[in-house]
Amino acid sequence: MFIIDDLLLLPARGFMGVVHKINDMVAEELTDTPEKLKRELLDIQMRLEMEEITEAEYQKEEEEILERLEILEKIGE
Amino acid sequence: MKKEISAKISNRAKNQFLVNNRLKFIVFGGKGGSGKTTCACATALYLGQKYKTKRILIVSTDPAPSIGDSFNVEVGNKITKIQDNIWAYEMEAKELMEDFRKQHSETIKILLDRGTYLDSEDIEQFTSLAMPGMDEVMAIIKIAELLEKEYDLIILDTAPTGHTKILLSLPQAMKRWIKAADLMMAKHRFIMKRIRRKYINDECDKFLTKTLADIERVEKLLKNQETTEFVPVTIPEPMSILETEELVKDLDIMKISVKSIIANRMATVEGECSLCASRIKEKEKYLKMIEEKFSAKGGSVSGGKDYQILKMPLFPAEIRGQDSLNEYARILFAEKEFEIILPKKLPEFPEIPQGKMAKFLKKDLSFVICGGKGGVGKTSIAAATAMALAKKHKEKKILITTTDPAHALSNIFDQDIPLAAEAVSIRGFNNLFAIEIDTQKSLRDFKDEYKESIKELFNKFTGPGAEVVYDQQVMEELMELSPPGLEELMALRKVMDLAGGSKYDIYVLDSAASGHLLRFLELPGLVREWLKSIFKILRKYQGLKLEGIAQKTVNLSRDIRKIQKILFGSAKTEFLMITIPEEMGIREMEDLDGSLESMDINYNYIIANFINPASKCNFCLAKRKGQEKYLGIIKKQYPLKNLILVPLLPHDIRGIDSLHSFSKILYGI
Repeated sequence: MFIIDDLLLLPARGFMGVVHKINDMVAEELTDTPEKLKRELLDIQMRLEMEEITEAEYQKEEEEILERLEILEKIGE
Repeated sequence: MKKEISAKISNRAKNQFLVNNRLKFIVFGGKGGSGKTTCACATALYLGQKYKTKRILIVSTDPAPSIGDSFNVEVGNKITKIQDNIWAYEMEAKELMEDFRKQHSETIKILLDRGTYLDSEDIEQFTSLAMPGMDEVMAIIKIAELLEKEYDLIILDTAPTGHTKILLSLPQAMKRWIKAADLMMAKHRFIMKRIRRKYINDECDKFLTKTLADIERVEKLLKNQETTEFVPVTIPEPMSILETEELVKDLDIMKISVKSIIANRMATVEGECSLCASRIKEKEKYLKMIEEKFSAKGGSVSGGKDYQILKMPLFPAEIRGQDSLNEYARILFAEKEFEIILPKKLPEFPEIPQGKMAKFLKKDLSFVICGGKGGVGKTSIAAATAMALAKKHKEKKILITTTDPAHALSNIFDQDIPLAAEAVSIRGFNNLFAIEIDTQKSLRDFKDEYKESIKELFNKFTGPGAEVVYDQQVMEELMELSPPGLEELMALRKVMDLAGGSKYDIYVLDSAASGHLLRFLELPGLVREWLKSIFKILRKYQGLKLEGIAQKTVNLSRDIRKIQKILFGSAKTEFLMITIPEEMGIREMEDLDGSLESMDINYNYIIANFINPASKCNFCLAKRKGQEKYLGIIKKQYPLKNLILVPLLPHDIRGIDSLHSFSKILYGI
């Protein structure tokens, strides 16, 4: 696989960059952030387009995410 | 028996048509309905008799082929013997694609594995998807294969003009794809060399080398002035002449040899009727135009070259079967002059009623699609329909548009409708607009939009400082290539954009010839399958933060879902089936009808165009007698549809005034 080839060819600095990136990603997944919620919203949009979920299921999930986003904004204030 | 002889049609003077006996490849092309297939089949028969030792193959690349109809023999997707030394073959791109996939999918999977970051599951998923718009690509690959076989001469009957251009320019695009694929291999070769110290060619290299050689062979053949000749076929009417002009210009740029142009369906018989007389006068005017445009003196197109113009008459009966094709060939190759024998007593017919489509205007529609075989008069009927709608519903805004790669709206309205993003208002109306979609530009915009996204995607995968020289090149090559159907998709998206904005109340779509219309209608479904696969990948690699790309793709998918909703299963959309009462017109209609039913597109009218009106003239009556047979078949086969007869008019339809009278004939308004 090419990811491996690339990893082998990557200079050390680039590699550390990847490690940091992974670290950041893990931290982000644990707490709600506006970015994370937007990603979730996008994800359900994709699932709707893939016909994995129905329009009704989409509405329900969208509402839930928007609620969480609202809470987050209130905390911010 | 009354005999009428016309000496007007004779190609005897200095006929040089296809006299070069070294020819290996003859291509017939032109606008739909100009009679390409008849010319191609007649030529095959004539040359078959002239060179008895040569093995001749006649091939159609039209998605709606009619070689079989012309010879009156079942042909289809297999090489079929017509005569001792003549074979015929109607390419079925879908089956060819399936064969190609079976033969090469493993190699292509390896290539993708080496050249992309996708894993084998992703690759499996993508390679099982249908490729839209691969008809012409498959045709080129098949032609290369046929060239290796034992034929001395291949005669090609092409799809209507716009698509012929795509076909002819494809070898160059395909060479670029091979280059991109080859670049995908470069990194693999580099690494293998490091590991094994030596690189040994494997099946991927062999596949690429062979495909490249095949494509180059086709390209070389096309450009070989000694062995290849392209014969444009035109009819004496403005749109056909315009298309031929553009075709000849393109062929000149591509360095493909053109010597003769066939001016087909010339009206000739000076009967006792005014319709015949006015049609003859009109056709002669356009013939003069053809002769001027394609002569060394006059033409902007000819580039100082004199083309031989061959005139072929309009026959009172259909040209079908070997006998009438032979007769046709003898006139084309100047062995005899045209003469017709008409029976003295022919049955008469009642007047064609007018305004029979008035009810159609009362429907609450938002989308009207005009479709049918090439040359049946789709554009003029679409234009008259848009106009009638605009007259009837003064409060509504009507937009007419086209997805045909050969643009014709400017011509029919006799008004400059530039290829642009903005609709133009039609003279004399404040609620009628037209837009010609620049498919090339839409495609360019689409690519530019995604270029940044793909670059971003690419950077995410490689990280800073990585050795990316091979990949950059691959990316740049990949961005340049596009499957041929993508232009149609972009036309579709443009229509979608317009529909999404709800700026107009009714859209009238003048569509491409039926074979390509089917392709166009299948496209939304195909594209959505592709997008589903892309979503799978995007979700799988969510950690890479591809939100920008994901959002764009979601928008595209939504747009397409919207248009699916408009087109399929909607009572607000109606398809108008336009046909001519001839064997080939009816055959194509059958295919189209089946697809419309299966795709659940609402359609209730069949419009039979160019019907000879009530007359005492023998020529008109003979034509009408032939037409009646097919009108009978239509009535029997489609009892639930409203059959509308549209008379053959003394003048071609062009400009607002003639469209006004045409709209009166159709809609009574």
